[in-house]
Amino acid sequence: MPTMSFTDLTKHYGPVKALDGFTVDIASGRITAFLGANGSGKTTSMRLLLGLSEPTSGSATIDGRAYRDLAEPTRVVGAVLDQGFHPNRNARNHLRIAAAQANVSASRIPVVLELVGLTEAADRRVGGYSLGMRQRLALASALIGDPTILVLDEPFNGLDPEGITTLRNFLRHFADSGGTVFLSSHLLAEVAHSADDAVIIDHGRLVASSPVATLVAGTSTAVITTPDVDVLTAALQARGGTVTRTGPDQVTVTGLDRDVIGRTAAGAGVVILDMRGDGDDLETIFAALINDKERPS
Amino acid sequence: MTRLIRIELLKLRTTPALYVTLAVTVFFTVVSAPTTILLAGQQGSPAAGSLENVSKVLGVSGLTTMVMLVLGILVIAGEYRHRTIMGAYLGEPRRGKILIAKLITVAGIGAVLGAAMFGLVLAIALPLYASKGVHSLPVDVASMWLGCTLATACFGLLGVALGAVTRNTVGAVIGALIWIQAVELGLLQTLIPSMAKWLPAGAGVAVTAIPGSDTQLLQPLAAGLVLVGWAAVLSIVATGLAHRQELR
Repeated sequence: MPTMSFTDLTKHYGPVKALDGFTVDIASGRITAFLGANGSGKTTSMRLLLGLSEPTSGSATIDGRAYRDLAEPTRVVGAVLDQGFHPNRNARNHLRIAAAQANVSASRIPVVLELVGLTEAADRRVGGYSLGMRQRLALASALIGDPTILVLDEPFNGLDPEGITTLRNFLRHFADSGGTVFLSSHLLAEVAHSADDAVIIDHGRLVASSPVATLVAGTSTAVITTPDVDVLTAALQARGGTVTRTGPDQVTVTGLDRDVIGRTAAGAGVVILDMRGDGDDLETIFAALINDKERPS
Repeated sequence: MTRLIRIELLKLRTTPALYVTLAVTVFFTVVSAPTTILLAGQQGSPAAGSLENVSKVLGVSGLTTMVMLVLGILVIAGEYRHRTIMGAYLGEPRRGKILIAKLITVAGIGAVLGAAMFGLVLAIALPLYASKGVHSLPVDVASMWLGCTLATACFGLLGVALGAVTRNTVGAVIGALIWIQAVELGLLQTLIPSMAKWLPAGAGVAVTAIPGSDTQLLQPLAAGLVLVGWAAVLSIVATGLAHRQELR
């Protein structure tokens, strides 16, 4: 059973269609990146999942149940959206409230403070926190109930490089321990480092949903220099790649992972003098997918 | 519900609003009661122990009701202002329960504040009156004490309901104070007293007034019922809206 399901989810704000039949399943035990331009429907989807908005039609469920039907929801799902903090309350007291809301012991507070590196600043007013510290406190609040699912809206925002690395490592550890992470981000390079799967949304509709590695393999291009152009072309075409001759000793290959290309060439006894990747970063892939969708057929 | 009420109390204990509220109320109570007694009979003011003088000294509910109205607004509209309401609704998605917990919490604090401030005024006033030779007061102290407690609790409820409906701290506080002080007490009670007595401020004044001191007001018992009615109706409207309003 998928951990989270969006089924034909539609949300209208007056004449604006924020979501239009959005359907996707988020697998458990993986980090799934939720990608899309500003206003594409990412935050709306997350808010509907968490019961903060009501859908016009369709459903968003967690293990088959609506968020509001979970007995102790923050012990199942930890969320970082744009929830705020009272500026005159210190972090420890904020977490005392979060712990009470999750119905967990206050003994979780030092644990999550340590986890996000806020132990030293725990008794300072949140109003004096930097954006990065607020992000870490938001993550601590999400973790207070020791949930198995994390729903994070732009969690890397405001973090310094060290904070990004720490969060990335934490999320990997969380997923490797069986947890599920569903995170939206506009930092595509960062997501490429962190995520197992990617869900791409545009204008409220699903554009793509697959493992990041498959997306990269499916849309990346390799430019290969070889003295055996014809043999390599035939071998790669036999593996399903699209091969275009771009020079007397050069071909451009799309649709195959570079690892597959190298092994195929070796199997065919072809010498590769040079192989360069082109367009195998998520930003290029994202742009290509969005453009493909928008191009009239 | 007990857990939600404990959370509301924890929220109040960990921000300055409650302490400022208490400090302001105690300060004005401590300053105003002795001043009124000590200056009694001077420059044309009513004599110490007279009905008018005692009515003014014990009229602490005029302060406590306004303070609780503002605190009630802050308790809910402040959550929208700082966006902490999202965390509250993530913890308890059945939003009505959160609002009910806030209503119960604020009503309880209002009742305690109203009773305590009236008690404080009495504690200050009785020795001062005794020093001026006044040994019995020409009012039903118990009835006024009860009225102050009830009115303060009800105005807390009105504040929560108003804050939940408007979701705007500044707008709700300014709007409420203008409505009560200028529209209800300033205009309507002068121009249309027959209508004004049925409104929240009119009922709030009547519930703490000395019976028969103002023929334009409802009797305290009727005023108490009217005030509870207003608090209940607005609370139900606010709870209904909490279920339906989008959190954006």
